[in-house]
Amino acid sequence: MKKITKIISFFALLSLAACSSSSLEKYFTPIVDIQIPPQTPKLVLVGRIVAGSSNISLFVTKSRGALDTGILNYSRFDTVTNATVKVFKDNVLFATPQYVGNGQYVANLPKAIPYDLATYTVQVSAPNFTIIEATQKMVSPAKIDSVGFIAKVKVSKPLNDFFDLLGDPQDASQFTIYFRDTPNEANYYSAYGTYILPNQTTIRNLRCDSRDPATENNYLNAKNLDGKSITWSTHSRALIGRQRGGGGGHGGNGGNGTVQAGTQISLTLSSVSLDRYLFEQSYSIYQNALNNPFAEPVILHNNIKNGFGILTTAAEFTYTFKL
Amino acid sequence: MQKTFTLLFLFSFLFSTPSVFGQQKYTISGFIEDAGSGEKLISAAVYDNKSASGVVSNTYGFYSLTLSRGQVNLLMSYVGYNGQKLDFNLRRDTIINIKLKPNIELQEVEISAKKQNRIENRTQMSQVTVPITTIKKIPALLGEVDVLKALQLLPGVQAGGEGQNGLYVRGGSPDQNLILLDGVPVYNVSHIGGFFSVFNGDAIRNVTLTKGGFPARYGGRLSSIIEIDMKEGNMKEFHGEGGIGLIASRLTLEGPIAKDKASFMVSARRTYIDALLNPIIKASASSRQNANANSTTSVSPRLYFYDLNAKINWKLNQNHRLYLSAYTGADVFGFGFTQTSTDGKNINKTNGGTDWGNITTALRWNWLLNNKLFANTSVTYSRYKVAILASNSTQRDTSITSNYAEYTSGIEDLAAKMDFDYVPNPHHRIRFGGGVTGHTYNPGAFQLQLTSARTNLDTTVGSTKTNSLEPFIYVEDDMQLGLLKANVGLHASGFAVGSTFYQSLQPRLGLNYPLSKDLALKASFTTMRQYINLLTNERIGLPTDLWVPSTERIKPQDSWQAALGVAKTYKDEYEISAEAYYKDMKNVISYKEGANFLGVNNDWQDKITQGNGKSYGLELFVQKKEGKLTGWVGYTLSWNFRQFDDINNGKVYPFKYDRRHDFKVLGSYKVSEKFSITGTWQYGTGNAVSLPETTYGAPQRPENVDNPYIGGGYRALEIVGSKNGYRMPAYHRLDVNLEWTKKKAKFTRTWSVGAYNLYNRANPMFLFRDTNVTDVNGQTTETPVFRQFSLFPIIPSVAYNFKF
Repeated sequence: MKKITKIISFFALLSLAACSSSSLEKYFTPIVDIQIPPQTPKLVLVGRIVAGSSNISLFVTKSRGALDTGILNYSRFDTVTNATVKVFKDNVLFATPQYVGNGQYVANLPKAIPYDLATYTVQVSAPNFTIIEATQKMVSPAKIDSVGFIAKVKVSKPLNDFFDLLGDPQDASQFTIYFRDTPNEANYYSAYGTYILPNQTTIRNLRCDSRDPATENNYLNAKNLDGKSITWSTHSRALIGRQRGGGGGHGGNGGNGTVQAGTQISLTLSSVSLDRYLFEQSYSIYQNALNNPFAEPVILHNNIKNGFGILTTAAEFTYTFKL
Repeated sequence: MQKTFTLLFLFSFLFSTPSVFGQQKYTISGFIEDAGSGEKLISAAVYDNKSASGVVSNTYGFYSLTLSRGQVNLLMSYVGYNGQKLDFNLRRDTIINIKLKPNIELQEVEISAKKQNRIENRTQMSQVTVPITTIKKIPALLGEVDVLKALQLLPGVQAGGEGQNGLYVRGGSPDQNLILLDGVPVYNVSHIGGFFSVFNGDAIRNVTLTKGGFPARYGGRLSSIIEIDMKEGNMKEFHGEGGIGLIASRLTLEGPIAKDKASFMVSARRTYIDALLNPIIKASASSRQNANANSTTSVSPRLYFYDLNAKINWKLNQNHRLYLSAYTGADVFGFGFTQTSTDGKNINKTNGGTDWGNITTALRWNWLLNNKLFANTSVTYSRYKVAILASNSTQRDTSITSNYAEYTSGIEDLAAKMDFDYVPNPHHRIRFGGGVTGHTYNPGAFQLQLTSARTNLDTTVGSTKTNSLEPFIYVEDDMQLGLLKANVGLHASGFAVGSTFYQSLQPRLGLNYPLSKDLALKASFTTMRQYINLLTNERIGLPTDLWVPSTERIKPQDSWQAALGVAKTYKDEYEISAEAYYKDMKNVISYKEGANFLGVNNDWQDKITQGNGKSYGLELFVQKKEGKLTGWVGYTLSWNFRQFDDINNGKVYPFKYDRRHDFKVLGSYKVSEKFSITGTWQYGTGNAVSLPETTYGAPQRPENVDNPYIGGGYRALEIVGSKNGYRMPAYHRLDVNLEWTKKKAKFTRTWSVGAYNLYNRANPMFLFRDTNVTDVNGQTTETPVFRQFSLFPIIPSVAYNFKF
């Protein structure tokens, strides 16, 4: 009996000691703060090098630890104004973008970036940061052979007069781009556009959404279409209030996002690098999973060595026509 | 590789059997059972001291030992039972049914026979049998005996989250465990989201876990086979046992239907959480009602789970026996609210909840074809179903509007199989058989009904029932070739789903070579294939986890596992084993990054991805089965990785339950006939977890650098550096259970007092990010923090158990 009493006493004391060391409040509050190792800030590089463009615009910022004070949002980010940015083409210094404000480093080039398949390396250094670097090979351009369109006409408007460039994709006008994939390469494509209303000069933006089966999050993966003629359908929508060159208002003069016959459309087919494609896929999943406690964690695609962000290349071809 | 094993098997069989020809042999066969209850004893040893040959009984207690004509010195034994000794002159085939009586002290006569079934003499490695008496003593959450939590205390087996029933065996996931209740797969083994298992300890007689070295008779899962046998029912006299605990009560009755011919066992358990909570909930509703005098509100909560096991055991004659066993259990979790206006004209009824549960049935026919050949034929049924429902009806005067939504998913199996057990001589035990299982999967259907004066909608979305057929055959031989013992086998399986047919040949090999008298070297190599998958969310365990088949797009999971180890019995009391293993898995499944397990609009195949897994480690195990002090000590050192092209940028990452160190102790000490104490302590490296460790602001897309307002502008991006790159704090916990037993002539009662998490360790269940907002002199500061949620503090329990 003595033995039993001793055993019970021992465990009772152990339990009491444990419970008293953790206060009653803690007992009923099962949440405690935990620490994770502090994060050293790293440089961030986001940008693209576009064949045919006469400038290179790169965004440089720095990361912060998830537990650092302050919340980042669209207007508050940590710019790095004293970075040295170098762009190498086939290992030869090609450009040195300079800080112009708002996180941007821009280099205006004496002539447009060529369409050859050169390799570009961007190196960014700044005091107290590890040098970051990213390398991308220029991609082959794809020339649009022709563009067809199916006008979705507003019920109240006469045929071929006003085209719907607004609303849900299934209601918007559909453009079909005919082009040939560059053979022996894994190519990825996206499209975007602009339009100018008759008798106006304001350039307005068009977004192209595609529900083509080979399209994933609006990027066409042409891995199974190597060298073939491609017919790619996109539904185009006006981006209201986001026109280049100002202008404001909605997308057209027909009301509710419609534009009239004679509107000039420019569709750009952008051939993008694999890293861009992977980033867009991961970014789309990331957006969908944001603030969803039941979603699996998402790791954004990152091709910046020793840092964060994404550097991509693109070769673009623009086809202009009138409705 | 597979051809080589097939040839090896055939050659070993052909060349080893002739050694037994040319001598006059006779067979001793029969059944071994508990003398008191008539329950068949599994793996009881029968040993001839003279020829140093022996066998162990099969799952149905059958044994067969073929010996040379002449004097035999037969010893029969089973752990916890008095042994028997039998000397006679063997001159013809002889049937001996053996009845063993339970004992307390070890007798000298048993030692030789026990050697037959010692760990170093068994070819099978990576297998542990846990006596139900031990399981019942293990301290458990709120005092509810839990078979699966007992298995979590074994090396190589890890629990999932805090208090959860999930078993992660040698780096596998829970769907890779085949959990058989009387030979029938049970698809959901958890009550209340995993805190309690569906197996009622009072209805169980035996639990065996096989982690590797799978003999050919097993198939269909990659990581483990857990066999749980229900009690057969006492053939001799009527008995009962039960208990009253904090949250549930149990009652089990068993006895003869016709003495020594037929018996029954029925066991039931039900919680009474609802009975405890109902007054509180109703009082709360009543207090709200006072605030709104225009209407009255009634609340009807439904919060309980139950289990019902039943079995009939009918001995038709010496050669035929039938078993009919069934299990049904369910969780019911929901609320109903009815609000009625004081004039009675307006009534609003709302109901919602989740119900889930299993039904299993097995009809088994034992047929002793002759004294060397035993057959078992089974027809089984298993169903798991989960339903989430919500309904609302509003009556305003004579107008009634009603909405009803129900989400259902589940799996249903109908199977038939035949198993043969052939013992031609002491050097061979050949098992062969085959069967087929028809699966019906319902991976999620959503039914919506809207009824009003203007609307009448009844639609079902996502109902994509799929059927599949899974046939298999196997053959294996437990053989002795001189000192070397081997189990060589081949398991062949197929899977027909839609227009796709998968097939697989799975060679199995187990070896045992004695290094000394009490020490053996063991090795095994097995390949396994799995055709069904469990879609489960890594963050939380829910009954909405879906069972889905391999399809044309989703390939079957494959694995191979190699293990090498030593086994030894020390001082006839301690079983010691050390095993190193390596397991390679192909086509394991996971939700894609960002995939949401909720929602029925997307095809489940679009949400998942397939990849590879590997795990390796070392397990040490010391077990003491008899004496005043019983229990075990287990340690596992392991590594566990996954690789999917669509996850973590295709890079290899640690599995969530990659646990470098895992240490467990179970000790049960019988202080006196009346008092015993049992304690468990476990320690494990923290689970791997993905945390958004870094954040940065950037244009949403690269082309937005020059114009960030196109397509979204700037935003803060959270960066998860690498999948499962962080570790939760380590897990450790001490549980204790004290038992006071009082025996009377025909009645035994036990008071059980215990504590879960005795020293009140705050173990992590999950981590989350939060923000601390402080306001000093009108200046608001927001500080991000990571927080840990812990589920269970110290939880005492008390239970009253009885037997008669």
